Amino acid sequence: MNRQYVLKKIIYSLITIFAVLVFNYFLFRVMPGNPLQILMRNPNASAEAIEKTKELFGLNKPAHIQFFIYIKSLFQGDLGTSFLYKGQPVTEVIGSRILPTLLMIGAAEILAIITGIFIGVISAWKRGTKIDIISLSFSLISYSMPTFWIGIVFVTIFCVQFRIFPTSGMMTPGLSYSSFMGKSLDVIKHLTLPVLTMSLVLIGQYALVMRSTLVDVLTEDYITTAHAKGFKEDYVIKKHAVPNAMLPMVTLIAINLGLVIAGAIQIETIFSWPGIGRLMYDAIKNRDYPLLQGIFLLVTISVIIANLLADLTYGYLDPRVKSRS
Amino acid sequence: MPQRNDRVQDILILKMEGNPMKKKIVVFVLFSVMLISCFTNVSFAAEEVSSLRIGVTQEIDSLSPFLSWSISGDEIFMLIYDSLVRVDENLEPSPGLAESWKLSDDNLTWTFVLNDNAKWHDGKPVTAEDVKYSYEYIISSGLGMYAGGLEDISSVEAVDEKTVVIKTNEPKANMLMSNAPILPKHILETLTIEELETWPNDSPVGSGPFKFEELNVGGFLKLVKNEDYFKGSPNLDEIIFVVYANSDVMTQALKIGEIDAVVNFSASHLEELNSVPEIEAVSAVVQGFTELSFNCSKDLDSKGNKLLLDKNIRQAIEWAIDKQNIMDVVYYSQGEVGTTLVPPGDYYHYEPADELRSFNIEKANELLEEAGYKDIDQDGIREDINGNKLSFLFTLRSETPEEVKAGQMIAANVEKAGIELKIETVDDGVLIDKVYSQDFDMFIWGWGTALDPTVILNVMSTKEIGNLSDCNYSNEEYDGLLLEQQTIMDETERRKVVWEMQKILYDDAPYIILFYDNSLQGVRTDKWDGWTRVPEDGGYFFNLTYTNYMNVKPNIQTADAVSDSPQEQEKSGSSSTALIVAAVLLLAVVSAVLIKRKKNSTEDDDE
Amino acid sequence: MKNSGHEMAYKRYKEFFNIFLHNKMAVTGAVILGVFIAIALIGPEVYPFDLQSFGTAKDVMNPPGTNHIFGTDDMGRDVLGNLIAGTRVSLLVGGLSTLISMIIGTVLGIYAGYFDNIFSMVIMRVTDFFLVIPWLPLMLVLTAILGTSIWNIIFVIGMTSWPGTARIVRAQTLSIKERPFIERIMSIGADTNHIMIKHILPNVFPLVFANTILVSAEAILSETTLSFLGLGDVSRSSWGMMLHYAFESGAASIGAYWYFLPPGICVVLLVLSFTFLGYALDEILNPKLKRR
Repeated sequence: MNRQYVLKKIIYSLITIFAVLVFNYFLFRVMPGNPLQILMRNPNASAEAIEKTKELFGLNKPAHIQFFIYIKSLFQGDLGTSFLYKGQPVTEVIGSRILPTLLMIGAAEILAIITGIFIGVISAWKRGTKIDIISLSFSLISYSMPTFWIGIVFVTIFCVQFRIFPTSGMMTPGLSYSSFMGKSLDVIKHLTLPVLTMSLVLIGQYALVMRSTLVDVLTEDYITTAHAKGFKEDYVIKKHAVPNAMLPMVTLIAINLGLVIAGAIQIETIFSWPGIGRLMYDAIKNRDYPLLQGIFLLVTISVIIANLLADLTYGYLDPRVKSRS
Repeated sequence: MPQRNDRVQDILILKMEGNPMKKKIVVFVLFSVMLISCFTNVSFAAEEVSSLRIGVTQEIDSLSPFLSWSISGDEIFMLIYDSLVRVDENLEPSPGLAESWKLSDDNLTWTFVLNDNAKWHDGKPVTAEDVKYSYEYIISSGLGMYAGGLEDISSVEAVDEKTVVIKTNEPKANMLMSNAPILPKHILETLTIEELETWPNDSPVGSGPFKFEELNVGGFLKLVKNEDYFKGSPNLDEIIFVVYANSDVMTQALKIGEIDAVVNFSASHLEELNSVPEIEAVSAVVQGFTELSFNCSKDLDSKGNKLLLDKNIRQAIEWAIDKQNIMDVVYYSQGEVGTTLVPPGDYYHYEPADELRSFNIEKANELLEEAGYKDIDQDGIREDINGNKLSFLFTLRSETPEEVKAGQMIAANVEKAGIELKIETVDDGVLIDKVYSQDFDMFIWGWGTALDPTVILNVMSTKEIGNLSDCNYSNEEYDGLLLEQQTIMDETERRKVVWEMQKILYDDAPYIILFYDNSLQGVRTDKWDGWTRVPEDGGYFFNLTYTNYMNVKPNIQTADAVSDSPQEQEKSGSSSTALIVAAVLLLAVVSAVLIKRKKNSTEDDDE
Repeated sequence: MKNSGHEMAYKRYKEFFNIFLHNKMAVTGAVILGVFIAIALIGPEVYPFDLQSFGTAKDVMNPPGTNHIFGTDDMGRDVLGNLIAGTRVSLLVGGLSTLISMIIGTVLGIYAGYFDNIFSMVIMRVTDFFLVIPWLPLMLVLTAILGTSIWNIIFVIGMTSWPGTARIVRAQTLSIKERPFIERIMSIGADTNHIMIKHILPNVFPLVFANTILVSAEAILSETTLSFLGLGDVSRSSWGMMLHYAFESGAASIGAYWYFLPPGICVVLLVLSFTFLGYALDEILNPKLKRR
């Protein structure tokens, strides 16, 4: 992988990040709904109180000046103060909600990858047979389902009918645990359904990609050569095909972040999961510009970085750069 | 179908470090650890703590009484802090921080004597200086939802340790109705004025029956009892307000015992909850209403449809609406049909007599015909003499599905009178913007009213246009009466004026009061005893009093019989979780072993 | 001309149809889609439904019965009628937004692939930019700004999905550009437009078509999700709106399965049909994927 490639990719990413900053900032200013009204939201506010609030939230300066102030404070690590959570710094609000989302997404991704690979491998191995058709159908169906619908169905079955899982939240509120294990167990109990819902959608994707790239690889000439040499199919799969097919999985995870975020917003709403997905939705409803900008920025930059890493990883492994026999 | 990345197509051979087998072993070990931990004894909270868990859908926006604008905030401040005067079960003023008060003969000087035993949660005694500092800050800054109730106060003095003297410019009829919380001076004075403006108040210190313990943003708020409360310790140990993003999920949580009470669940669940013997679900009469608001601005710049300035049209629309049917379908009949601004149940409510407009389509059509609106081109919509159609933009708030449904039914109703309503649904923020830029025709929203009728009557005053007024109504006579009633200390006399005001409003119809919709609350009677509705047809919470928070006791007898207490449920819940985890593990282990065996055998063949 | 791109393309199309008809997945997908299209076209004529047909209190949330085969919803309306009427919205939104996406994406993609100038770079940067922004938050924000009418939703979905098409078209254009016959034609000095339209486009088209099918699937899911979250067009029946109201009125926990299951299943089936078609097309166009 040569320097030029890396440099080019990094520069492009930086340009994109800057474009996102500008876009982010102005987009939320364009949104109708004056945040000032929502802030004051109601009675007997004297003109001075209004002025004070305006100053408090920096709303009394012209737009382009506000923008430069924004950029400056960004580099100082200050994302502003939330309107909705009066007075709390945006960084704090996001900080307190990001771990639950990461936890859920992380667990879901792990589950989805393991299961997806498993199904994909079996599908490819036994392609053309009934097993293949069943797993293929399963993957396609799960991919076609709206995330929120799966969530509702799960709640109905597992929470209401069978009372296995709690309906919402991340932990049983207020219970204090004397052991870390106890606390983890409670979280796991609450985590199960959201994770299952999220991973169901992802499993379909991963299984499909795994299957198709695996089949791709399996029909490559060198594999046919290996066959001719007498190696059994499953050995071939284990030693060559699977490792080769893992790379697209990596890039797929990066590409999938958008889907994951969309899923997170829906799932967190249905399960009252205290993460940033739900936070974003509340922020939009309440025109909390600073909070919205903060989340949007965080999410978008994460995706950019993830894509950058995927690009670099691909570049590192690209056979056109490294030649192998 | 995931986009097959074009880069992927080119991958041929890859050197891969590590063995796919290694990965399986790691996973296996992890699962085993989890399995083992499931079966170890998980110990929960040591002692049995009585914890009242209340499900709410509105999160608290700020712990600072100077910044918060939410109803949740109001309720919680009532528990953490005291105000000078509280409200008893009959909604009459009763001693709060002040154990007694006197009013001078000229009605301009109030003397409050504070309770001797009142202490802050950090142990320091509450003094008159605290009252003075708190009130003065609220008045001077104008910040927060309590500022409005403290208008017209000219001075607040701490005459001695326990006596506060408040002087007003005019007689202030609503002085005893203010529930502004008193905050500790020794904490407030450590902050500058600028700091106070953004003060999050992360660890509130109050004098009230409950102490703040923990706020988990997006999750829950926890309060613990103040054993040293000067009026006596509450019966329960803790209160936890659990925030739910969705009221449906919250209702399910109540049903299965995850929480002990819910506030504001959807009317569609009323029957269902009542069928559960352990649950008492009530349809509480609360002071508030849902209204249809018209743009009555006479301003030339207003973008509202000028036809709506004719009150005949506004009245005709009210005649055309079948409020009872909408109440039945959308609100499951939980509430009353609306009439005037101050809700029934309040002393100041005015009940229309001859002028009452009930559901009558013929009357609506008659009124419009006589006012000169006829359907000349026979397209089903009336026009005025200049040919302008009676077609208006009807804005509904997307966040409140009941209002959206009601709006749709209203449009269908009103069509029969020859008026066309074009519906659009927007976010709160967008609507507020439209209102302030006078760019609307009509919308639906709601108000909660206060003990003091001035609060809601004030909304219709000319001075509130551009501020609180969302209909731009202006009537000089009304404005005069508003000022007058604020200074009449005698209730009966005051009411006469307030009635006059409501009559004017009903005739002018800037609002059509649609419903006095109830608040639906539910509690578990199997775990808790001593629930009281305040007032009689009201609810358990958010009723301006702390009656239930103070009085309810855990139901000890049934605690053993019913295995549904949170702790019990945790144990049974976690054992089923453990079972499931174990099953999954077993499956994983078995398949891993099988696959390994199979691969091993084929490898052996190759070797 | 012996080996014009045109003739090559034509031959491939014929082959394609043959294989298509023999592919089970493709046929299943096509059949399901066909059924939905038929319902959308004539359904509401045969089984009319009025969104304003509110009932009275006793009509609310009734289980399936003699008058209403799928029961009634939270305002007393017939669920089946609503379902049928909703087919139109789903297909309309899916179809139109995909059309927008396909046209813009193809035009920009071919341009960016064929030419290597500043505009190409700009197009690709814009594409990357849009691909990076998470779609649901962006759509939520845009819909909040523009309003929730169905045309805005179509616009928003179309505007956020063309970059995906553009990227693929560009890649394909690049690879076609390298082919010998194109080089020959270019060296002869044929008109650029002529090359792009007559030769590149036909060869790009199959890929675009397959991709379009999948974009449609996503578009339908997007509309459903937006409506579910409360940003749908209130004045029209749509499956997403039905699910929105079902959730809001607690149909799931009351057990009113007839309200929230049918719309969900319809969405799944419709999206599935597109997915099947897309997947099958992918298989067909990529010979290596043919099963043993």
